[in-house]
Amino acid sequence: MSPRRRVATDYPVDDGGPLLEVEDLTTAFRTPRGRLVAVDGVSLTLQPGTTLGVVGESGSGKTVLSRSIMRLLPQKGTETGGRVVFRGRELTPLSRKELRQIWGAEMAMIFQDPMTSLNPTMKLGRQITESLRYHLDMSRNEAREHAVALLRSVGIPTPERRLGEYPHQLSGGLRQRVTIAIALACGPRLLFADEPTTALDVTVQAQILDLLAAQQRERSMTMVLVTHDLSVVAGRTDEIAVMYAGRIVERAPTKVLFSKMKMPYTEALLASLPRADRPSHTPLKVIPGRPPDLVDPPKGCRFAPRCSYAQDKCLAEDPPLREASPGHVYACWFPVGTPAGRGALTANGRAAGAAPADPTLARSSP
Amino acid sequence: MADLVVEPILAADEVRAEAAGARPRRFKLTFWLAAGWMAAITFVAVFANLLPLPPPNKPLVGPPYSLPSWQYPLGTDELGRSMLSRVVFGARVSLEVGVAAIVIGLLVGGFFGLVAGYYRGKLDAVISAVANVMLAFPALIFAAALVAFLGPSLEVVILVIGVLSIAPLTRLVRATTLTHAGREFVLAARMMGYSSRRILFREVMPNVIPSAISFALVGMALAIVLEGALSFLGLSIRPPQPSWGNMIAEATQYLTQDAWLVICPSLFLFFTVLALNLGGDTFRAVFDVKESAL
Amino acid sequence: MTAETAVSLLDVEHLVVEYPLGHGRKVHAVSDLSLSVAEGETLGLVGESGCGKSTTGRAIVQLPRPTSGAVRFEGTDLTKLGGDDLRRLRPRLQMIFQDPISSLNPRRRIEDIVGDPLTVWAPRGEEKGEAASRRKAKVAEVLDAVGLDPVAVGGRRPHEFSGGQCQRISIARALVLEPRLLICDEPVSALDVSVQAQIINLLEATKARYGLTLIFISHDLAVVRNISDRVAVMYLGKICEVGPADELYNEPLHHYTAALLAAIPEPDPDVDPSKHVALEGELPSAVEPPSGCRFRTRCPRAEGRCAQEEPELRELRPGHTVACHFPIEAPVVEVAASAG
Repeated sequence: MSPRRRVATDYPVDDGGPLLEVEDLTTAFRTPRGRLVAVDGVSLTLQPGTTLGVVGESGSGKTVLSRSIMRLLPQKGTETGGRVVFRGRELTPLSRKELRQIWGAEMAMIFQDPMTSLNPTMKLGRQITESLRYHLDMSRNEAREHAVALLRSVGIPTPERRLGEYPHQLSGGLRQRVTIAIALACGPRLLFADEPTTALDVTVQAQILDLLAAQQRERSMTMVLVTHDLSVVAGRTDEIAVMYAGRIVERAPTKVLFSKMKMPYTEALLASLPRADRPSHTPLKVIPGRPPDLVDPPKGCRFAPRCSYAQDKCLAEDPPLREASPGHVYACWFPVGTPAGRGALTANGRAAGAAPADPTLARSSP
Repeated sequence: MADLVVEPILAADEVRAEAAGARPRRFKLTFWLAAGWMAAITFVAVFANLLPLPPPNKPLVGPPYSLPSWQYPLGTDELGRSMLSRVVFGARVSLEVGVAAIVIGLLVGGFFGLVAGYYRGKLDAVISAVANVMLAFPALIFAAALVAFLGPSLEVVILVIGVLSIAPLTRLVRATTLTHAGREFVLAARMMGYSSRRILFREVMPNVIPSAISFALVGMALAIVLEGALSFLGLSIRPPQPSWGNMIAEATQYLTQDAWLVICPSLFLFFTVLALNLGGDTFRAVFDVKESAL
Repeated sequence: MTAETAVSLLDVEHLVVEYPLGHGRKVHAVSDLSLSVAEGETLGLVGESGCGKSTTGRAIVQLPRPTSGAVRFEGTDLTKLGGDDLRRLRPRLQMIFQDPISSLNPRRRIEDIVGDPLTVWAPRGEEKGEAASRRKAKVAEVLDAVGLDPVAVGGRRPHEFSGGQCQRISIARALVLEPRLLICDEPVSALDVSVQAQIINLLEATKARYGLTLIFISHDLAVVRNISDRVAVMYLGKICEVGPADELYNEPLHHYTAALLAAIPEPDPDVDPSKHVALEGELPSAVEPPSGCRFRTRCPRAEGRCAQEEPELRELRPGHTVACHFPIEAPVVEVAASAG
């Protein structure tokens, strides 16, 4: 499937270099309470054909990050800074009109809730062929045939019939497949999947993630998988970036992250996950408190108020991103697994003394 | 380290931040202007008798067709009557009609709407059917018929407009009640073993009241306009008693001689309706923000 | 402690919940469901959307009343109780819900939300001043038990709190009348990962402190395993398998359970998720469920018998029952050969 392109592919870099380079990206919103910095100086590089997982909780900035990179944010009340370079071409100064040539054709996104990302009043066929006709200049019949083939390729049974149906007539899993078909229709090079399976059941989740992986292989596509679920990214990504309070706090190849993590936040996140492969009533180690206020973030390390390794230095000074090994960066004064880190933990343990009174923080094994 | 509540507002969700930026939390200037206007109009209407104004129906207080001046702040009409007095007493009529209509609408319509939305079933079916019939009935014809039957007077007009405001309020309150009655806190209240009456009046109703009030404010504006239309058609209080509507009606014949006679009451009507609409909107915006602040 | 030896706090027998759709069609949300919950245990009820687990929870508390079946709580059949009698029993069975924010009345203050039940159910003879101080003390006690400062929290309204805090308040409210049974309907699904662990721990702690029995309904298999003693798996309105949590997860007997477990992603990069065979197909309609075994349309092991005969729940291991004609492993011990 090599679609004709309406847009001139005048990209300086097409081979060898990174597909996407993000430099010091910042996004801030003007809110009644003040300036809310949702993404605070994020930098990353993406090589073609790889999968990056972006993990974080609500308020971490992961959703705003993917939309900032695609430049999909509303213009009113939003300030952006930094550079985004896609295939050697800088996206930051482009107008909306120019960006529209890129959206769908070069970069696409799928969202969490397929019910709200599909137009409920438009038949599915039209929603798919819309994109085909706009970007690839297809005639109505060509687009229809293409749409049927697309639906079949994403595993939707009786695709011809589906073209005439409305979103509400399909189940959640099928709807998500349709949104994937729409996103992939014009063969984009980069796909952002923003919590694509959060709203779905676990068996459907597995189907959808398998589908995305298969499509990625077939099309040699690069994918960014944004999720709050560490389990989802564990087996399906090449690299993982952990976000907290608008920043990337740790980034590493997947296997390295899980075996040699340096950030206490990453460690705490992993320890607080209930596991289906651990016995019943396994105590969960809890991260106390809540994520910080992004209008008025704390001085020093943003995770420090909740960190079990935190020392005075952490509350005063913001740690910079440092490299632990090639491709593995983190930002911490007392990282996990180092003598400094271990010392910090012991010092805090001695200071805490008795077991915490808060019943949510710990529970004893029966 | 117990997880205590320190600051009320949590780390802002990014998408919510966008929405919050679009909605003002505090009252804007337009709201204060609207509130000020309504306060002024209400004040003069209530204390009309105590104000140092010439009687509204007394002719030749000054030369006819006088333009606004220091002596006659809003000028005089074709019979030399003080426009200011007439507008003030006309305001009284409009406000009486507006407030009474709203009160009838809220009390009767609100009650039935609550009951229909909470209990559902046959009760809802009956109430909704009656409301639909009332809504379908052409308002002006109903008004004209009643006035023809009972004679034009302020009481009749209030009755007519009051009855007309029942059905829309029933519909609105029913819809809002349905929304809130479906929420989990109502289920939790049932789980606590609260009686239906308690749930309806202490759990659901407080949530319904804000939108009912904001709708009612806008409805008040409509009531005032409707009264204006009725008196324009001669179906409301008869001249020489002033009402904004009949002042406009009478003055149209003198349009070429003195347009001010038409413009003056029209402006008062316009600003009052505008103020009520703005008030209703702002009221809703403030309460909406609070609820969706999560 | 198996289900038979412990005292049964709740017995659900042949529960049926159906919704009419008109033209003689119905949604079979729950079909002939029976289970027991022993006093002091946590029963996890797990399944995917459309399986009827939430409906079961609501039917147990009679909100709304089930189409048929019996729900015996402390020996009394709730389905047979009239309005006032049922209301009087309500304080003993409480529920917490999925959406923490919509579970609390946005127009009321926390101390009223949590304290009102005490006023409504205050014993008749009690003097006003005494009732008020008792109420204040109890509200403070439960808010403290869920990790919130009663003084800081009491006068505020729900919109001032985060999802996790609202869920704590809901738990406090559920505890204030000292219920015996607490049904948790997806209580952590709407919360952030780091907050989930807080609430799970909190539920375990309050269960121990107040001597509760829990029914924990969720679609999240990892969470259910963590908190439950026994787990029941539902599919399209029926129970497929019930057993001790660890045994069910380690050695599932029903093919659906196995498929569910295979689909769970693990936070372990060395596990290749594509190795597990994902469950094919879509959930059949609850309006016209498949004949015989409802899972047969997607089951790798289905045979002719599965379409003709609906499997009954049989106890294949102590305390471990399964409804399947061809369960996964040969049963280790045939406990009741006469069953079925």
